Amino acid sequence: MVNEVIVSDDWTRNWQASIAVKITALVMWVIIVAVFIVATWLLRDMESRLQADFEDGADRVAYQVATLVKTGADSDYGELAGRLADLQQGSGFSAIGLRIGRRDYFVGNAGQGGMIERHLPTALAPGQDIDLEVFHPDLDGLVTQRRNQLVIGIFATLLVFGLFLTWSIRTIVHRPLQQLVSATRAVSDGRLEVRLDISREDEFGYLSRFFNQMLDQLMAQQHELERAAEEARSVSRAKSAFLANMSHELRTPLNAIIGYSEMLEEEAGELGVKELTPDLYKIKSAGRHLLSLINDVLDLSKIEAGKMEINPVMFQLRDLVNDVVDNIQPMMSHNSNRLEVQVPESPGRMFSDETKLRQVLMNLLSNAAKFTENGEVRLCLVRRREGGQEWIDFTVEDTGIGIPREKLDRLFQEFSQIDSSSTRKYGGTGLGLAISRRICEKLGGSVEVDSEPGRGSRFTLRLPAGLSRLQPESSLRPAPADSLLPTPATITAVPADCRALVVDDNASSRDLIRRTLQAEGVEVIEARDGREAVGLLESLRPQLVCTDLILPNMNGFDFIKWLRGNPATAALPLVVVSAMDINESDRRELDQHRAAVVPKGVNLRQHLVAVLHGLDLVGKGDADGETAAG
Amino acid sequence: MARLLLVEDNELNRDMLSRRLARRGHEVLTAISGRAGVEMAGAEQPELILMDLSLPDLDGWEATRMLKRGVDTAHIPIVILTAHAMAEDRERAFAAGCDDYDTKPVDFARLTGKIERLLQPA
Repeated sequence: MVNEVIVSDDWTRNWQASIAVKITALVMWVIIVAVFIVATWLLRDMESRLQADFEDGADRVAYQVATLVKTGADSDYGELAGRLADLQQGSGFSAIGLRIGRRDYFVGNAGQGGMIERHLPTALAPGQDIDLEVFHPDLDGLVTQRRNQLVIGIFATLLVFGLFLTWSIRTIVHRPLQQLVSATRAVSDGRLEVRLDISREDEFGYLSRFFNQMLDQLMAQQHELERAAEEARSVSRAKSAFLANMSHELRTPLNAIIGYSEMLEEEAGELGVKELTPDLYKIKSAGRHLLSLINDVLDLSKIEAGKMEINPVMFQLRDLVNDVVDNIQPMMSHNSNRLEVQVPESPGRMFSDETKLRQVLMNLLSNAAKFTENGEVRLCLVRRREGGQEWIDFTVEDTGIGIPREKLDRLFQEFSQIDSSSTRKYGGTGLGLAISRRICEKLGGSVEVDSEPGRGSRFTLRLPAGLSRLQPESSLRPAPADSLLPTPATITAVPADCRALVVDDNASSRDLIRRTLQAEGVEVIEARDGREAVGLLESLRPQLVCTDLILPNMNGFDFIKWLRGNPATAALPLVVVSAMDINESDRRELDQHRAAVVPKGVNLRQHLVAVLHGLDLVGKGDADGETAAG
Repeated sequence: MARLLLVEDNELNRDMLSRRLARRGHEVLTAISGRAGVEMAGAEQPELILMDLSLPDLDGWEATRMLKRGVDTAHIPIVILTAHAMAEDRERAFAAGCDDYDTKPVDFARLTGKIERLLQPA
């Protein structure tokens, strides 16, 4: 999930996220610096101009006073004083001072002391000097006043300009950017139908136009992809349907071939026509071989279509090995081979797909038996810990013909028996090892081979002892319903990740419950008794528990009590599937533990499905899916 | 032994299987279509039905469903016997209500084992 992008019009909350604010700030800085430089220069200029004006004014006043005094020397000084006062008031100077002889005379306001006006002498002696001084008592104040006016003016202009700039940048840049961001986010959410306004004629207009074009193309491509995927799906469906049909068509006559040859073999034995028996046996075994080929091809196609289901169960390794050894013994003695089995005293249990694992072991052992004569085949089992994980290693070793080094790489590929002559001599499809490898991968492990021609081969199987804890969920889930072949409607409503724990000591009821649940798309884990179930509950966290009541080790009621008493499982949906006649007090106890009851019997499947739908596990899965998609 | 009904449209397989079952001492009735099978099951009341899946006019799934819904035939165990080996076919067969399932070619010993188990009184 990408970090949430905040595209907000409120830049005060997250100003750094807005390009408009950034541009405005940058432009404002440049303007402020420029204005500062210009203002400094203006101020300096203003000061010197004020000074010059002052001096000019002083000169002019001095000249006018001198003229007045000279022309007024013989006239009335009262009139002269009046004229001087007029002059002072018109000049802009606060006072004009005259020094005549040793006496000073002021006209106007001199200094802070208010009006000091001393009248001019009534008569001026001829030839007497007049010193003249003009005063402007607050030149600095004037400068400061002018400067303040200038600064306030500049700031007012800047403020207005800045607001205008912000507004215009928001209109020009921010809005279209914001639209673009929202559209991009919508597209990344999968809504390809959004389109941008393309009425603008600037770069944003072009961007929007190309953005829209890009979306058109994307939609076209997506449409094309969907079409191609649908085509691929239908091809895959056709292929699977073909395989299923072919398998069906081949099996029907094979059934007759094998059936008749078996029957004839029996009849020949009864009628004492012993000489026919070997030939009848050949027909029968050729038929069986053909069947195994069909089965292998079908197996492989299922694996390729991702339809191979893994059904992990808890089982005793000792039982598995004994079973495999019993089954392989006839093949071993057929080629006069000796089978040696090395298994630890108590190999313990394993949680994996027992059937699939048995298939792989049988394949490896029958290969060993087939390609070895008068030799030895060894089956070893080792349990080990690696990376905090329990692993089971099986080794199948033989003293047979071995495999040339250059053929080892291709050994696990389909149809790769080392040469066609060996197919003729040893039989088989060349699919067994390919299938084994795929199964091992599905079981979370691997299979490796080591061999020397003439000396023998060694196959090593490494598998996790606990499957689900390692495997990605997806391989445990049934294939998506749309992948292949028509499927019953119920499978289409597969809950996203519903896993059920089925607890029953009876293998066939467990099997029936498992199949019912799987048909509803629920993944199933099986346990044989209460104690095993407790272990699995803690490690595998199922979403549903189905349990029998009569169980070995820990009976059903005790198990249910434990389940409800444990905070992690107290709320799990619980279904009791039991053949027991449930009396009134048992019923009360089960009700108290919120357990749905399904009686074992003819209608178990229908009942269980009904209860399952009542639990709404299916519907819930769907709803979750919707939310996740939207 | 028992009265069995074999519903199978393939002549060779019908002949072979009915003869092999007869050799084991069973009385084998045969029907060649799903509809004929359902009618015969109602009329003859066999102890067990062996049912193919791909049948003319009424397929094995539908025939099984009808038999399991019928008042007088619901109790008769049905073993589906088919060359359909895909898992879905199996699921659908069990969903239709069959009691057991086996694939062709028939492993005769396995099939007789299943028949005997189903015929044992519960």
